[in-house]
Amino acid sequence: MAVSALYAAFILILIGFFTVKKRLHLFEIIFTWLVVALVHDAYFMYISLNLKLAIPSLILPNVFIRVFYQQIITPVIVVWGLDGILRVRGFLLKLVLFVVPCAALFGFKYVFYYYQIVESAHGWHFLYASIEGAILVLFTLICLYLYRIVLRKDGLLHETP
Amino acid sequence: MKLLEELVSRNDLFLIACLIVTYIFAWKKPRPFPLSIIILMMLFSLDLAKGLDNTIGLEPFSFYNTNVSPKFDVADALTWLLYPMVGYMFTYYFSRFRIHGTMIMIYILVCSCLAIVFEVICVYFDVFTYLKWKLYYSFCVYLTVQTMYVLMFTNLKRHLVKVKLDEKRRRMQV
Repeated sequence: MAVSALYAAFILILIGFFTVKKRLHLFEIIFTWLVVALVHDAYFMYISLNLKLAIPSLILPNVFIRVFYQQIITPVIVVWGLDGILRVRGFLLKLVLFVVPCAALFGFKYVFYYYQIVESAHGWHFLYASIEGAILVLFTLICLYLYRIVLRKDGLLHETP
Repeated sequence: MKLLEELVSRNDLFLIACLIVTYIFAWKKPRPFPLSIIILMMLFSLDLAKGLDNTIGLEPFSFYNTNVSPKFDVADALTWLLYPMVGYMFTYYFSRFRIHGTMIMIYILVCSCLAIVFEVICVYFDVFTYLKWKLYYSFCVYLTVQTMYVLMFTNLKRHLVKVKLDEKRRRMQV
């Protein structure tokens, strides 16, 4: 039931993402998507394989949900968040829109731990995962700013940051 | 000391040699398309490869290990640097030879065969350790992955041309 509910939520998020108009350039969206998928994947691999702090479930539907979340939903949330952050002016507004994707990522992580799609090892408190989302969004934002410099040099980006 | 022992193993030396060759190639050859597209293709290549490695290479599938250990180590970090260059070389020659139409099918077929040969050499040097994987599975994977590269690259180029044309029209109107 939990897997079905999660899957339904993922589909709704995807529909929302592809129907809402975004201000980011297509290349920026693809770049951000790829960076997030890569970084999140590498991080999860490291904490699960090397540190053994996260123990992913071996049940097939749970594996599917976890992979779908890592490769598709996490990038969608971050891209959407970054689009909002870059759209608004003012530091406070940007800070509020920074918190939104972090909260979404934290929320999904909590659901994953609650339904044992990913379990935490002894000694690893789930709340440590709360800063993961913030670091991921911040890191992607910095990478996006650097990529924008490349896009501007290639004559593809005409708007101010 | 432990790091040095890791660095002198077969798979690390082979990966370092491949990295030197591919990075010299990237440095010497002129860029056939903008840096923004090169970055996207490299990231796409890395993302596809690591996505597969971290899905079918891990539990519950465990078809193979990258390098000897299933854990992330120095050799894995070297593969992270190699995958983007392989993707770049694929798109470089795709653009250089102006592959289009039916030639795309032949190009993908030839590149998949070359990829299989390279994989056999990688398996010999312990870059991949097969657990339940068979070599002929890799051929199907390469066909799929390279088709995705072509789709991605052609769409990016089409978008780039469209943006440049729109800009040209806007300048002419002004």
